[in-house]
Amino acid sequence: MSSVQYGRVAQADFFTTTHRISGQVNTGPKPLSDMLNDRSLSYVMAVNVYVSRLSEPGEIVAHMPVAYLSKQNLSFVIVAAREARQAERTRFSAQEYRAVITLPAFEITGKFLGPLRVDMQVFSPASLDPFVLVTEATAQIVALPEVTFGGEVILVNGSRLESFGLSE
Amino acid sequence: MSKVLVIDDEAPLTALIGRFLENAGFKVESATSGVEGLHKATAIRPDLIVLDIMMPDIDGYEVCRRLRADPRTARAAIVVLTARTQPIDKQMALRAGADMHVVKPFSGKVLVETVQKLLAARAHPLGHQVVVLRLRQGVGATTLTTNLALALAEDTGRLSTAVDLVLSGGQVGSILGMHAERSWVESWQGDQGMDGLAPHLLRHSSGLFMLPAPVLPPDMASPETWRVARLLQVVRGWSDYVIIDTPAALGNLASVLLDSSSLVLLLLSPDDALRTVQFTLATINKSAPEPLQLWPVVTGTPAAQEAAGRTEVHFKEQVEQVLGLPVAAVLPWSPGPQPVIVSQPGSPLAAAIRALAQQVTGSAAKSA
Repeated sequence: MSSVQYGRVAQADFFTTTHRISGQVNTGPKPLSDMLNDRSLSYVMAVNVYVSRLSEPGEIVAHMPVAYLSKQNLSFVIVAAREARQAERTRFSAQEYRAVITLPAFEITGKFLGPLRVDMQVFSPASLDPFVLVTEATAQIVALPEVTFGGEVILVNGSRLESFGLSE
Repeated sequence: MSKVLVIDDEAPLTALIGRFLENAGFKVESATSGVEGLHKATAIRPDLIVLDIMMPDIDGYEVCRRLRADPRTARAAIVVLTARTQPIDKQMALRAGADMHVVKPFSGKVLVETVQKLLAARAHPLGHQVVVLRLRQGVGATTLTTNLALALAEDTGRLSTAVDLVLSGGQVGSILGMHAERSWVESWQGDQGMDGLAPHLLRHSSGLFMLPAPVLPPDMASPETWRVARLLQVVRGWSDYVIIDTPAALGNLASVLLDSSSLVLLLLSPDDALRTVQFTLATINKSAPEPLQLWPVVTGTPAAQEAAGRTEVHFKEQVEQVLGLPVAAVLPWSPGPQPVIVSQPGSPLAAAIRALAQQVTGSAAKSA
């Protein structure tokens, strides 16, 4: 991949309900999760973008030097751990849960760092960052369950959630 | 000095990889696009190619496919170096013909070690691969495969491996009295090389190694074609002789087997219609990239045995006349599949197969 890069560049796999988009994002001094969670930005600009269809997620069907990705239409983003700001382990967020998440076209499983005791009457995904951080995560395409995507961190778009389940 | 071609559109990275490899003693050339990479590969014929996947003109998978399709570059080792790190990406790379998939960011030490390991494996001459073809069931192809492999193991003292590619109901293991709990089809993903394959190889007391067919229902025992191609490449890199039993209907395996085999033994019996055989041969030859070394082998039938071998001799003459190829061996009929090389070493069938094994070793020596 060729590029002129200044500042911090994050390599990421962005997934929509129809496409896998691999590209690089200049995130300045911060991790990519901060850019995704910044409510003042609707788009993320990526460079050296390679597009695959979900029906053949390994085949590259298009290349674009630059592309704007609509954040609200992203289902999730796979990044290296350094590109995700981890929740601090305090006495209020110290328990690791097994998370099972369903989104249109995808199922995601992994670990979620949450409050010490989750009170489902009070706890709501709406109270989380726009992109929910799941570690040691695996995503499966519902239509092609034999194809899995994994990464240190998956940032799941909270507004695309169909269900969000936690278990200890 | 081994030649390495680095194809990556990111020039600084290409230069960095070049420095790592030059410091390790390789002669390095570079290209910064897929098109340039293909041109340089045909011009300089590198021993190994380090290939990026995400390139704007032609992606690395397509470059890899074209390199493998061109006889001038088909034998180069290919290491894919990419930021696409998902299991499907590794599968795509191996399917396109790459030998190894290394993810970015990478360590120079790991890359150099990978290159050294691959080139060392290539330095070892590939084994002589013999595929036993039959046009229908019940002509004794499994008996021939098993006994030819046994004869090669016993008589040459070289590493010989029988590979059972009759993936549904293969019998090589049964003839040798050996069974595996799990087969390579279930757990070998193509990228673990010989280390991953070793647990699936069974060793017979004769010294012969055997890769049994899976004990799986037919619909579950169909590995992808690229995985079979990779399997044969790995076994050939390790074993001096590789003898393969195949199903009557080759399906997708045909191109893989015909592309990679040094010798094809076509087993025919007097019950085969020679016009059909002639048509099949023409089709096989048309689909093979290079002229095949094909040896007809005639096997007997119970009826032929009653005629004291006269039927086989007559059929042999017919085969030679119609196909225009000399028959390499006439095998007497034998009741049921047996490892005659070890169980009845003095039998006429064992003697005929040993004589065929000698011809195979002669052919291997010539091609070496």
